Amino acid sequence: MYKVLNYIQNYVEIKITGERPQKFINICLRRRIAVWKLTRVSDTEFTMCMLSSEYVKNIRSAAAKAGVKVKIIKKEGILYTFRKYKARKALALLPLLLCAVFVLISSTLWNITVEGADYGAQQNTLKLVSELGIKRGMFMSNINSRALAEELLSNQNNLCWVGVKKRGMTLHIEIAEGTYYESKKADTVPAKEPCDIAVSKDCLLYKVIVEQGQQVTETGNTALKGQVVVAGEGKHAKASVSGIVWYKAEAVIENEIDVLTYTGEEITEKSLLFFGLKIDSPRWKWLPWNWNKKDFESYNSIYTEKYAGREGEFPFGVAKLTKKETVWEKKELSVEEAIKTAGEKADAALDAAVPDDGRILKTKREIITKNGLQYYCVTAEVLEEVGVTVSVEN
Amino acid sequence: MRIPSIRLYGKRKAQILTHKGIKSCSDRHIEIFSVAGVICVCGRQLEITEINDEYLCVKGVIESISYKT
Repeated sequence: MYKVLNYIQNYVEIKITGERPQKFINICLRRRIAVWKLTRVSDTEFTMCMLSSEYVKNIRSAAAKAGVKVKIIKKEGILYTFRKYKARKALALLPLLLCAVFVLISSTLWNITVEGADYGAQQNTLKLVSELGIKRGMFMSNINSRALAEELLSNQNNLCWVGVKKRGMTLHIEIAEGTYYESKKADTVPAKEPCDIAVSKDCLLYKVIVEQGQQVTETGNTALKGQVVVAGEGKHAKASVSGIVWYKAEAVIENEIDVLTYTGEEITEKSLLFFGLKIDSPRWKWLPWNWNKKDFESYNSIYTEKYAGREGEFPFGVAKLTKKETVWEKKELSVEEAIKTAGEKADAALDAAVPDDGRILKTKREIITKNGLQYYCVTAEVLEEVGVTVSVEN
Repeated sequence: MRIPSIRLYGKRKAQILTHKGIKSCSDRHIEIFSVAGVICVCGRQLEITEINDEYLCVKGVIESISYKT
C-alpha cells in the first residue's frame, strides 16, 4: 500500500556523501521529512528515499547545513513514468483510444428485448421499433424512452400499456395486451342537421327501431339502395335499421390447377451482423464449382438473424437467408377434389364480401353450368346493419 | 512526555517511538538519541528501513538493546 502511495506521490532515491551523514538525517527528521529505505553504504555514505516534493523544497539547505553532498540515484513515480513515455506518443495514445472505444461501445444499443403479451404482439412491437429507426448500434442517449413508449402504444390498438426502460446497453420493452374497442363510425351528417335514414344496400327490411323520426317503409318489405326508411321530418333521424342482404360468390370448377412446388434446390447466403449493420459475405462466383450456379427465378425465402449470447445480448451475430427454388406445375384433379377446391375458393370470396358485423342466417351451395363451364356457387343470407344517414335535399 | 518506547519483534525487527535523531549508524550498531539517553541497538546486518520525526524501524539480527547515559 505504501509503495503504491509513494509511487503516486513520486519519490527519489538519493545518495548522501559526507563526513557526518547522520546530521543530514537528523535535519531531515526535524523538518518532518519522511525518509525510508535508509541504507548505510559506508561510514561516510548513505542511501535513502524521500518524496520528490520534499526533496525539491528542503534538501539543498539541509545538505549545506550538514556539509554533505546529495546525488539522486533513482527517480520513481507516476510523473517520471509519464515523462519516460512522453516521446513514445503511440503508446500514450493507445490507452486513450481504448478508453474512447470503451465509452463508445458502452453508450450504444446492443440489444432490444420485448416481454409480455403474446409472441405476435412482441414481433409486431419489434417491427415497429425497427420502423421507428431504433436499431442496434445507435446511441442510447438518442432514445427517448417516454416518447417511444407513447409511439408504440398509439400505433398498436391491441396493447393497453407499454413500458420502455434502458438497462445498461439493452433496451427493455414491456407490453401488456388489452381489449380493443373499435370506435363507432361517425355519422356522415352532423348531429344538429336534419337528415333521413336510408339503406346502404338492396335488402329485405328485418327490424327497424326508431329513436327519432318517422318510419316510412314497412318492415318485411324490400328496400333498394338509397331508399329512405326513416324520415327525419325536419329533425336529425335516429334509428337502428337491420336488413337481410344476399351475397353470392362463385368459382369455376377446374380439373387442372397450377400448384407451386419446391424443386428441392436451395441456396443459403450468410451475412455478418455487427451493431445492426448487415455485412454480406461475398459470393465466390469466380470459383470453378460456382460457375454454373445462378440465382433462382422463383423462390421462397426464410430469413433468420441470430445474435451471439444466450439471449442474443451481444451486438454481433450471423444472418442466414435460405432460398428454396419453386416452380408452378399443372396438377390433374379428380372430380371430388376439383369441387372441393372450387368450394374453398367460393367460400373465401364470400367471406371477404360479408361484413364483419354481419350474421349469416342461411347458406345455399349449388353447382351451375354457364357458357359450358361448371361453377360452384355459394349464396348467403346475411343479417346486418344497413341504415345510413342521408342529408335532406331542399 | 516524550519518553521513548521500544517494541521488539523477535530478533529481526525493532521499532523505536519518540526518538530524537540518529547519533551514529553502521551495520553492527545504531545509536539513537532520545529523552532518556542514547539508545544503542547492536547486532549484525542492521538497517534503518523507515524513519520519520517520531518513528524509527530497525531491521537485521538484533543482539542487544541498551541505554548509554
